[in-house]
Amino acid sequence: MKNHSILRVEDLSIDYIVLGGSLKAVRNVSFEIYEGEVVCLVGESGSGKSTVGLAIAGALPENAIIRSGRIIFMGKNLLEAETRNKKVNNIMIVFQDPAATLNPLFKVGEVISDVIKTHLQIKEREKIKEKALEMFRMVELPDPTRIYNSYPHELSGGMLQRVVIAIALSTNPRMLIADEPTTMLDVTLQAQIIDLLLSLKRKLGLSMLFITHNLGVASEIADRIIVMYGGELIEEANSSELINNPLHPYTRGLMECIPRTHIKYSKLKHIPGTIPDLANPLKGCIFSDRCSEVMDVCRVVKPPIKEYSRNHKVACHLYMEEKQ
Amino acid sequence: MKRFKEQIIILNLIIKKPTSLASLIIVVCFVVVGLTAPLIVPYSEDAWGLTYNVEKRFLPPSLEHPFGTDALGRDMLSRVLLGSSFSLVIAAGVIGLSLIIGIPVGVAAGYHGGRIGTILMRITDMFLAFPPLLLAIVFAATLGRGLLNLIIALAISWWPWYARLVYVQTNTVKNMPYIDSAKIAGLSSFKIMTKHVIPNALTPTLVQAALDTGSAILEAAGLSFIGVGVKPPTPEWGLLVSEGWQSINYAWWIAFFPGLAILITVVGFNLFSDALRESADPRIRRTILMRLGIKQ
Amino acid sequence: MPVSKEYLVKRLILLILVVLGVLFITFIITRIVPARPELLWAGPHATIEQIDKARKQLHLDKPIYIQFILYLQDFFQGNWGVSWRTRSPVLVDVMSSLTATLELIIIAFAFALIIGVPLGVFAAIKKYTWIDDLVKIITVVGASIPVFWLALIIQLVFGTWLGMLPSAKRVDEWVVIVTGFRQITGFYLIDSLIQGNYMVFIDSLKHIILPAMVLASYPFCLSARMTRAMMMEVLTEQHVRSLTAWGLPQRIILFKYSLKNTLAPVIASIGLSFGYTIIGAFMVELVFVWPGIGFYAAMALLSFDYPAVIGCVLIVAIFYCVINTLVDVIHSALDPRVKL
Repeated sequence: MKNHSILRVEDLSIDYIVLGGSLKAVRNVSFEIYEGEVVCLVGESGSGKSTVGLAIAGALPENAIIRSGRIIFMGKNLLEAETRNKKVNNIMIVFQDPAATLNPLFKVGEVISDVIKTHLQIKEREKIKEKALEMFRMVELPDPTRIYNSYPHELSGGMLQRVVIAIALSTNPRMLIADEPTTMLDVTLQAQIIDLLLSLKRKLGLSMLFITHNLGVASEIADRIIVMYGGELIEEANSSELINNPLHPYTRGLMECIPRTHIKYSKLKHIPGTIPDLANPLKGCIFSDRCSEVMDVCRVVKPPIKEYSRNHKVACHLYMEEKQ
Repeated sequence: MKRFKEQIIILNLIIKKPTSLASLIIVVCFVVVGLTAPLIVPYSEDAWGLTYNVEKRFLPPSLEHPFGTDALGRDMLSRVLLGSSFSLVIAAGVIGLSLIIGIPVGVAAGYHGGRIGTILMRITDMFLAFPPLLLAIVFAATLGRGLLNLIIALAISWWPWYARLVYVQTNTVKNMPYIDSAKIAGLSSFKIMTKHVIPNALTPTLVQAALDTGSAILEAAGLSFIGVGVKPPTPEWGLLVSEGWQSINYAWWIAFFPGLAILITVVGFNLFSDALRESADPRIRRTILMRLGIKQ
Repeated sequence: MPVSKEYLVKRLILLILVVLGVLFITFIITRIVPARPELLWAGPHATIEQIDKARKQLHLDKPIYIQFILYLQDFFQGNWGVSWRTRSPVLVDVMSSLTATLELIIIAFAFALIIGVPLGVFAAIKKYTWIDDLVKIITVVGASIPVFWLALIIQLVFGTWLGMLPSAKRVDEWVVIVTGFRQITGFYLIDSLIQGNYMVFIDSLKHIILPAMVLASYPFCLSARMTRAMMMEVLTEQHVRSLTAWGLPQRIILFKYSLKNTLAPVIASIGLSFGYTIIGAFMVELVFVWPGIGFYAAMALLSFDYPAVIGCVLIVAIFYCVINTLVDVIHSALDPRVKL
């Protein structure tokens, strides 16, 4: 794998304006994605993982405000006005709920045609349709012509997600962001969609940012895993390294939450406490109020993210001293 | 306690937005003037239409008569002011009567369902199949002119709306989990109905009804204008406009000011109901807060 | 357009039920509420013979349920009574004035939608700016204006004071006489074009502007407000955000995609406002002496011409029901999820 960075997120902070003030949904997040790599962004609801993905794709909801940071994709800062207005077709996104992603009043063929027309500068109707059908075949949809003339409500969830993937890939992107693409699907379909995404990724040489709350899924598909908690990045490591040697107490807690069939009689664990209050984040470590190994320093000083070993970064006071 | 806080937030939002504040002022003024008009009008006898001053006919607006005088030399300001009392009475009468018919029908149909419920709602739908007001016009024409007849006629065409609203609300509330809990806890059907279903189902209906005052005024004025409403010389706004119509080419003020009064009052109620709806909807409220830069 | 046979049958049955309901209610109002219905039916100043004749016509000598059956029979046979004011059968009168009203309403709705919808879209795009506030104030004020008062003021200012446009009737009599204009469909704008009679066309166009403008005020404000509200809601939906994320130009997202999502519910609610427009037409016609159904009904009301009043009520109720069906069909054409 080439160690060539394709996307670099630097010090990204995003707020949501809500009734009674603002939620600091993402705070000072930095990471990198290399070419051809699959990176999984893992965290529970409210961890800010989707917000990061949406920010990269330029699809933040209206009440989101980017407070600081840069998102550098192939050498250009996506947050600068001129690059943002000029449409980048090199990053495409697949959303969580395929039924909500597609406009109910339009045939799916119409949508993919418009996307193709916009990005690939194809004028002829037949060629556009041909390309659309080719995309539908690529995502292994049966009977592409029928799908092309269908409205979203006439297709099943799994088919719709394939359509969405086809739309996202129709512009020949360099990078795909998948925002929990299987959460709304049946378990049997989840594996199919993930397999499809991985095979397409290999075929097209894509980089992929895969956002999920499921560490098990992440461990299966990711080259690298980034763990977010309460809007902050707390641990980042190679997939196998993270699974075998999770450092942050939160990550360790998450690992214990994964149901395992081969361990008998073990109780499924959960992390005590609730997700952090994003309106008033803790001053010290964001996880300190739920952490079983909390120290005095944790409540006062926010641990910076530091390299623990090669390919393994963590933001936790437990590992600060060992390093020094 | 939490509900009370919610109401303070809503009130706060209304006061901070100019259009909402204006609407609140209009509504309050209308009610206050409506209640006190018989005592405060400058020319009381003119207002009630009991006088005839030949030498004062068709006087244009002046300091003495800010809204001018009408064909019988009566002070228009007094008549328009007193008109607000009539509008208030009519609106209250129409809405009150409609609620008296509509609520029992809606609750009965919504809570009991079954055959009686279906029949009640079919009857309601039959009334709703008429274009609004048309039924009122026919009734008013049959009953003859008069304040009470006007109220009855309008209420007959209005109650189905409330019946439907209450029906929908009752149905919603009825299927809430907490009603099931109450049933399991062994509360009697009557107690569930009076203590839980009706209060929750009625709140939105009553708020809606209060906000409908503007529409009631507008429709009553319309009926009076086409000659099936109140009897002259009642200073009802629609009738005043109608009286001014004959002489509009040389005395525009007679028709103008009563119409303006209707317009301002109805605008007040419509804006106020908008403001209330906006402040109660969390999504809209959020954006209003953003615009006003309110940090809480 | 997915309109099934079942839907049409269902609608037809509903129409029949509505007509029966209307007949039932009008029967109660006109036959049971008044002490002596024959007096109303024969009109004021009727002679004793005329009253007797009315008694017979109304079958008042028979039991009430037979009266109702005969009432239904008369209605379905087109026997709607004779207007004692115009001395012609009510059905003929009503039908001939219906086209005048239709012409007015269609032009008014065209006005309302052509200006209202783009204004609503514009306000939604410029939301929370002074433009949006201005549009909001205009539309709230416009929806609150008593239409009869607006008619009087517009007639006074534009017709009488400024003398810009004619403010009464559908067309000048002398133009009709001079050019030999004939009625074909009853829609003057269409009839004059068919006959190539441009003088009548221009003249009736001039005549229709003021009343149509007044009548358009309510549907205009409603469509602008609804469009704005729906558009703003649609713009926050996931499927619009996904189009933005996939890089479609704003213009296509707004005017191709979001507009269609907006229009479906807007059309539905405008259709429901049709009832108000009919009553609005009633008053507008009265002020502008427009010889439509509203004018006819108002004249009938003022002269206590009962058969004519009931005829108008029936025709308007049927018309209202038909319009509602039409709105459903348009709605289903715009939204494929709505199956009829």
